[in-house]
Amino acid sequence: MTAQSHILIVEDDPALRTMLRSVLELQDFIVSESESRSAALEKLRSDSSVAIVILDLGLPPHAHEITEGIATLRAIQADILPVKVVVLTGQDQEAAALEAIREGAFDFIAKPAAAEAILHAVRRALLFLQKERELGEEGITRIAINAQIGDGLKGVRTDAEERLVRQILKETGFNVNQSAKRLGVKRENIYYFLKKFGIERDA
Amino acid sequence: MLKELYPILIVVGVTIGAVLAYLWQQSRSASNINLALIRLNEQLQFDTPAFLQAAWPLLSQAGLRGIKWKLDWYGAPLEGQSGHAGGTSIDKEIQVAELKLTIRFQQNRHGERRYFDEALIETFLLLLRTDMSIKASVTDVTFSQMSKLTLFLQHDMKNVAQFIQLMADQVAMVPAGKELQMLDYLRTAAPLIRHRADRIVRTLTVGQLHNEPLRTMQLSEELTQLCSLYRLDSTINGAAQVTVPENTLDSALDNILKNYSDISLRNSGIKPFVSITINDNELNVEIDITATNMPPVAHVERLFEPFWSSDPAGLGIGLYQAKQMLEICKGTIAAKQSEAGQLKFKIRIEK
Repeated sequence: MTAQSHILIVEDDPALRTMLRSVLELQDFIVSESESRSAALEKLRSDSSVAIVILDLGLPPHAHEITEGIATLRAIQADILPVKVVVLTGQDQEAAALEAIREGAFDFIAKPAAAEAILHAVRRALLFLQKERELGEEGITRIAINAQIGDGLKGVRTDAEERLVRQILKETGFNVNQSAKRLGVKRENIYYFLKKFGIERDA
Repeated sequence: MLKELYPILIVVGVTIGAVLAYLWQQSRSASNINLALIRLNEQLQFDTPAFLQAAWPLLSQAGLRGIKWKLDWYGAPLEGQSGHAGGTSIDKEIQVAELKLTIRFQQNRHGERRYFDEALIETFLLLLRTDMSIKASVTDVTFSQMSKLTLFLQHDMKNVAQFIQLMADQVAMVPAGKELQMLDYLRTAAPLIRHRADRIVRTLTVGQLHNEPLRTMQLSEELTQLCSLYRLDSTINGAAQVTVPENTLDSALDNILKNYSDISLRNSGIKPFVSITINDNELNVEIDITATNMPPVAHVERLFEPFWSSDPAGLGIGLYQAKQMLEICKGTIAAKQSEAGQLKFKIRIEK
């Protein structure tokens, strides 16, 4: 999966984008570029071959804050897009790292980083993605949730339930029968979950 | 009967005249002291501690017995005392942000003189409050501008550092046989990073450009390159050649066009179309830049104000800088918004 894997660079600085592209393409990766959240999400939604996203948190319109990058991460998580996100950013490092990991980033690299460090993170992310896909073929789905320990088990259970239902629906192309079968529940249960979590077909 | 009243009327009239003369003299004296306080404050450049220390001779001249003050000046305690204790005490306190002043006036005058004293005290306090407010707001604004500037520069500098790091790594580890491919990437990326570096230098040296070497430029070519760099749909009519100090007109045009690009990036769905007209006149060259498909600007009159931006994400020095750069090359810039909300920049460069 390493060679010819598709990587999306989301970075608003054209010079840096070009340099990152060169680092990756010279290592035989396929590279796409986006300069904003909307362009990145459009690319990810339309091209399922993207495996890894290298994401700068400081994107327009707030290039000097982490808000757009975090919103991009959130959208990727909400859409359950099958990608790993490596955050590469120069923004307020400690807060940014914490927020990025909370929102589902696979790795966090602070600028300026060596090319080798970026390549290492990309390869590691690809390995994890590969393993998750293998597990998926065995019927095992990996889900990530942010658990607030103080809220007790109920909150965690509900989050995990929602995450799992969303992911299975996504994987089955919103096929209720197949989703029910994979989850080992009745069709009616799937309709109940749809209502309970406010899941819509285009979500 | 009336004749008998004459002496009384004369005494009353003389008394009223004397009282009026006395009050006029008192008012004039009070007014002069008020004016002297205002001038003293101006001379001391509205510096609160210096004003407190220097004001006593005037206050004393006005008839106050004494003054005692304590000032918390950004955590440093300052205090002073002049004149005598005794008489009636008037305590006042002023707090502006983290600055706090407690002040005690001593006075022992009665009747109309008490009112003159009170008026003087109020004037003095008003001046002190104004000085403290000026200091607090200047400090706030300076820190806010510095932190904004630092944030912008930090972001740009980290990107430049990242670029250099990757370039160095690439040169060191380029796979065999791919040297030419890497050279192609560098050919594309180098002008972009140079452009970025120029912007950083311009931000750092705002208002400091002098004695730059002269450069002759073809305006239509320069504008075409900039529109292409910022991916702006545009039409450019006319042509002119100008010779101006380097990094002045080109940087000003860059700042203006980058704004359109930034707005487009910040608002998905907005795709500005830039129309540029170049008029090569006998005495000057005029450049009109108009953009359609743009949101109207709320305060056109503030566009060239430093650190003012209609966009919360903007630094607010681009157009200020553009104006300064154009002034270096004997140029002017003006902005005008049509009733339909279309913004037009007019640049005029003397030949």
